[in-house]
Amino acid sequence: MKSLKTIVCTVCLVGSVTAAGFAQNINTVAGVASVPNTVKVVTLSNTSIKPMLHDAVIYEAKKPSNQSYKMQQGAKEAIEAIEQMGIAYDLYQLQGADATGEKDAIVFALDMKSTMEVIKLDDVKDPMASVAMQMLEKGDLDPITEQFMLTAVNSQLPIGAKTFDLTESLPKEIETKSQAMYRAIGSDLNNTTQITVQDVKPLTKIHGATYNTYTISSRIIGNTGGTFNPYYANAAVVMNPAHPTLYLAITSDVQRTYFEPILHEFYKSIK
Amino acid sequence: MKVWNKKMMTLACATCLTVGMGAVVYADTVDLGYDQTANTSATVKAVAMVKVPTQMNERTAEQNKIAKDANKDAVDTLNSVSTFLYKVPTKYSGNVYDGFSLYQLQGENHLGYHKAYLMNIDVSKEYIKQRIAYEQSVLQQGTEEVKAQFKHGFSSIGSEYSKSIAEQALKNVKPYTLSSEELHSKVVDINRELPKALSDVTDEALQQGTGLSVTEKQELGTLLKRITAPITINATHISYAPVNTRYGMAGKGVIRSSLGYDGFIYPTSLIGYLVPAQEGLILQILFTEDTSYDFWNTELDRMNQTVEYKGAQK
Repeated sequence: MKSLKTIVCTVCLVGSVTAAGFAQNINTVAGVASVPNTVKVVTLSNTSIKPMLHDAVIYEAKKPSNQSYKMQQGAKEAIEAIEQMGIAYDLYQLQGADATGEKDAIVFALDMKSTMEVIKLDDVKDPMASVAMQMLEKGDLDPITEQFMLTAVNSQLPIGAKTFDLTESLPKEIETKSQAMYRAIGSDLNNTTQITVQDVKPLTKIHGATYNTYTISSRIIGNTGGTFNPYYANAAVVMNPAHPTLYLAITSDVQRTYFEPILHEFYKSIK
Repeated sequence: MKVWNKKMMTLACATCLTVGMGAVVYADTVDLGYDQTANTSATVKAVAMVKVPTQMNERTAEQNKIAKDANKDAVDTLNSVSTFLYKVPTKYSGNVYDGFSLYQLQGENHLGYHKAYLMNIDVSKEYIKQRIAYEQSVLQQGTEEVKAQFKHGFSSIGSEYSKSIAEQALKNVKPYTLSSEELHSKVVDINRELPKALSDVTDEALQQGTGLSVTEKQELGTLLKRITAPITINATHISYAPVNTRYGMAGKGVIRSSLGYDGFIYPTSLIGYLVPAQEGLILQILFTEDTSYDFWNTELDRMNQTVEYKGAQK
């Protein structure tokens, strides 16, 4: 009996030591985040894409045909935006694998404070925007406001699956011609555009995170003319007072079960 | 007892009706060309995006135009690419495709919603005949490296095409499977060579390009080389096996790989079937994301009624 206890304790100890060493840190916009060692993270601002974009804008701006004030101003703004990559915003790819194959998810991060400064908050007329900004800068919500926010958002969320029909209504003649063209090429396609949200997980606070962090997720299925594109989206707001950041993760629907817990820990670990 | 049976019957009928109404049954038909079809399973939907039938009398004017344009593009591409790759001039003409179709397949299991694109290409006898002649001329005039690439080419079936000859040729290829570990060194070699290969392609394209000064070509060339340099490929599984299908003998190949760009990856799976028919070859290509490989591999095997070919070479 004693030896059994020893084995159990050893297994627990080894397990926790392994679990503790089972993470790697990566720098993100709101702070350092952790992912399991089995997951690789690629950061857009660390790749050659950033200097390449920078040089491509300069190459275009130098062309004699692009010397107008408007084009030069556009190039200047584009360079400023590229330079903010890795500071005010960034993009990460999480890569992993399991028995079903290789996996990838894209996470976009946006520092809302820096963004509002760039677009000049004073120009935003909506008073709710400045209230929201003050809350984000404070990094904290009193329990009543927090509950009010969660209830307000969650009461608007659909239960079950909800389809939003975004089909552009065309004049009947054009609609008929377009359908006839699809039939003529042996296609089953049509002019429908729909987005279905299903299995929405309500906005909740992640307990145990360094900063107040709120997350929400959903399966999103796009239907374009009869072809479908199933995705899983998972967003979080990390209220680091210095860098209040919005994270938006997108992956395909079939990779949802793999990435859902990884993203939860990713957001929770940011410090 | 009678009352009990009646109640049971009512319950059974109600259950069947509820399940029947709840579950959408598809079992759609996919047109492979040359009068061959495949049916999806009841839970898989096939949405035709474009179809060009192999039978001329079944085509609309639009489908004829699509086929004509596609064949012209194919001949132009084959002539320029073959000459560039194998350094032996080509004179392809006529039809490469007798027909083709593209479907989006939609399915669902415990992982979520799966999607795949299935393309069926009906390769004409006319093209195969020209290809055999071209391969034979490359085998006479080409370099040793190029000759090695044509070891299992069309010319290995002889100088004429027929269904039985093509089936025999597919049987003669020894089945193989390369795992991630076995592919590692090959992938490293390919990625080492890839920047130069891509650079050669951009140089060639710029040489042929008009409307640009020498300086502009040089600047654009430098930029294009920088853009293409971070491209990499990786493969985790490559396999081939001759298999029996509902259409007869076929060759089945799988490539599970990812295209990379400076660390970013796009993991995909390709499943291909080469199905000989009397009128030509049906090339079936299924493209999906890597996670959906098992789902679509099972579905495509079911659609083609694939069974192992016991007589394959060991």
